[in-house]
Amino acid sequence: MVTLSEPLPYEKITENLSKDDKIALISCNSCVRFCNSGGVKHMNDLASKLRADGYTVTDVIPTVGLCVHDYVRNARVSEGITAVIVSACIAGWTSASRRWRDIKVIPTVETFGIVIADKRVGNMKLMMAFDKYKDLVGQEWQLMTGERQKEQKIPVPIPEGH
Amino acid sequence: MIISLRRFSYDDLVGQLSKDDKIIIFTCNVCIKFCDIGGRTRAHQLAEKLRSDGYNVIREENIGAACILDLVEKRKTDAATAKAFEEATVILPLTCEDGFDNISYAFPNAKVISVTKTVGIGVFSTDKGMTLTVPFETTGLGINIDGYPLSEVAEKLGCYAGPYFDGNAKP
Repeated sequence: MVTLSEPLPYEKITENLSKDDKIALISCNSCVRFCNSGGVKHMNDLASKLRADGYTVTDVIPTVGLCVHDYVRNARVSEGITAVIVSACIAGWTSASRRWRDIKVIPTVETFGIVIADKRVGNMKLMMAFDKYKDLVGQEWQLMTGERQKEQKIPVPIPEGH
Repeated sequence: MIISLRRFSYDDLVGQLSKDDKIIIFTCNVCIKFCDIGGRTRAHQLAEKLRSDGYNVIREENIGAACILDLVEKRKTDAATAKAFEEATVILPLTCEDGFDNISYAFPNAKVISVTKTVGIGVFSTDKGMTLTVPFETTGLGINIDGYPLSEVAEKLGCYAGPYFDGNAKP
C-alpha cells in the first residue's frame, strides 16, 4: 500500500492559481487512488471543475506513479504552462517539483505516512507517520473510499517508536 | 515509494543466525526492490550466499506487496507455502518495516529478524536510482526534491544501502 493521504479542499488548491495561468494536471494512480484522495478520476473531475470556474487547463496527464520519475520526466505538456497541479502523494509532488523547477507545482493531498492494508476487512492502518500526524498512528481508513474508521479491524500492533 | 535501508552488514546478519535454523527469506517485490535490498533476484542471491556459508534456507518467498496483511497470512494456509512456514524457525523479511510488522504478526512462532530500517518516502529514476525525498523527521533530514542518495542517508544513520549480497564473491 505505501502512503496514506487525504484530499485538500478545492479552495486550498486554487488559492495560488490565477485565471491567467496555463495549467497542467498530472496524476498518480496508485496509493492516492486507494485512499480516494487522488488518481485519474479525481484529476479529471478537478480539471472539469477548474475549467468550469474559468481556469485554463491545457494538459491532463495520467501516470502509473509519480514516484517513478521517468513517468514525470517523459510526460508531454504544452509549451508555456505556468502551473502544474499534482494528484499524488508528497513523494509524487517532489518528483514533479524536480522537473518543473521554475513554475508553481501545487499539491492536492496531505500525506500522513505509510500504511498496511487488509482486503478482508477493507481497511488501511497508519503504521508510521510524519511528526504532524503521529497522533493518528494506529487509526484506520477504508480502502477505496478513504473514510476514517471508528472501529479498528486490523490487529497488527504498532511497534514501539513508530 | 517507501525508502528502506539495511540495518546490518552481512556478517552482522549471520551473527544472528544458527546453522540449525530453518530460514525463510521473505521478500516484497515493490519498494524494497527499487531500494536494491529485496526483490526476487536479491533474495535469491542472499539465499545462495547463506547456503554456501552453511545455513539452511528452506524457502525463498516472493510476495507482491508485504504491506497487505491478507497476502502475508495466505502463506499460512496456501498448499505451496504452509509447510515451509510451519517449519521455519527464522524469517528474514527483505521488506520495509510495514512488511516486517505484518510478517511478525502473521508468524509469531518464528524468529522474525528486523533487517531493514524505513526512513521515509522517495522517488526512483533510471538515471539516479532510488532517492529519499521526504524523510521521516527522525532522520534529521528535510524535504529535498532532488533526493538524498541512499548511500548518503545510510552513512548518516549508521545503516547500509544496497543488497546484503550482490552475487559477487565478497559480501
